[in-house]
Amino acid sequence: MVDFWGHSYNHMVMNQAKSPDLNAVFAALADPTRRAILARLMQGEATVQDLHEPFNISQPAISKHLKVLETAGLITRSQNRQSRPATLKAAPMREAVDWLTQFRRFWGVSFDQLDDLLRSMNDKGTPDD
Amino acid sequence: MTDLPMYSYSRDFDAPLASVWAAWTDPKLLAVWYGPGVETVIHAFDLRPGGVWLNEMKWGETSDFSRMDFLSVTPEGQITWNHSSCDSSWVIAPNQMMPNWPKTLLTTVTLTAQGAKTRVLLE
Repeated sequence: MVDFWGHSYNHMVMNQAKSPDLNAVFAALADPTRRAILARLMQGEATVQDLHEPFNISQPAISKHLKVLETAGLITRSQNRQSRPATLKAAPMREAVDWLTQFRRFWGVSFDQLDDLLRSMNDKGTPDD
Repeated sequence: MTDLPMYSYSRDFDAPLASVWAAWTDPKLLAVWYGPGVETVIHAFDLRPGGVWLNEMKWGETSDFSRMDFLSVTPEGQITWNHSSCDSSWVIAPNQMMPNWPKTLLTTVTLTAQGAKTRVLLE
């Protein structure tokens, strides 16, 4: 499969990919506290306790945010330690950026073409229909 | 549903609003510019709330199908629609290239006159 940018995609890889829905990724990223948590996790793993102090919000609220990030696949939480530290997972973020890039290019190139069309309409006068 | 993530993109075109509106709403003109470097075939275009735009983009041996279900239409002002990837029978389906990408996007295009130019805001 080759898309209109000439990128090719491997069917095997695609079908095996079990990355979460990008809607969940964007919804998770839409919240400023969750983005701040992700920024903190870029420096290394953190527990609910670690996050609750600097962010000055309750531990249950932090847990809720971590749950949203985990569902979106943006973090993983250790299962074998009581404190369940959270670790950043970068792949879904990359996909989100790829999606935005492709969206931007789709409309960017289309709008270039619209610009050309409008110029040619202007040269010929508006079509009378 | 105001907490849905939103992406917006805006551009000013050096053309009167009526021309830009025509380019968005006349399927013959729309097919000329919509879709980056592809052949765009518009199979249906019924611009009214509840109406549908069935779109095929062709490049090489590949076709990509999408359907736009119009939600509201304000002449020379705004169009909103649900923008969905679909299969060749126009049934909403994940994009064949990007199966976990959003299947449906609520899309709004707003046209506003800026002097002799026209601003197109896409959200």
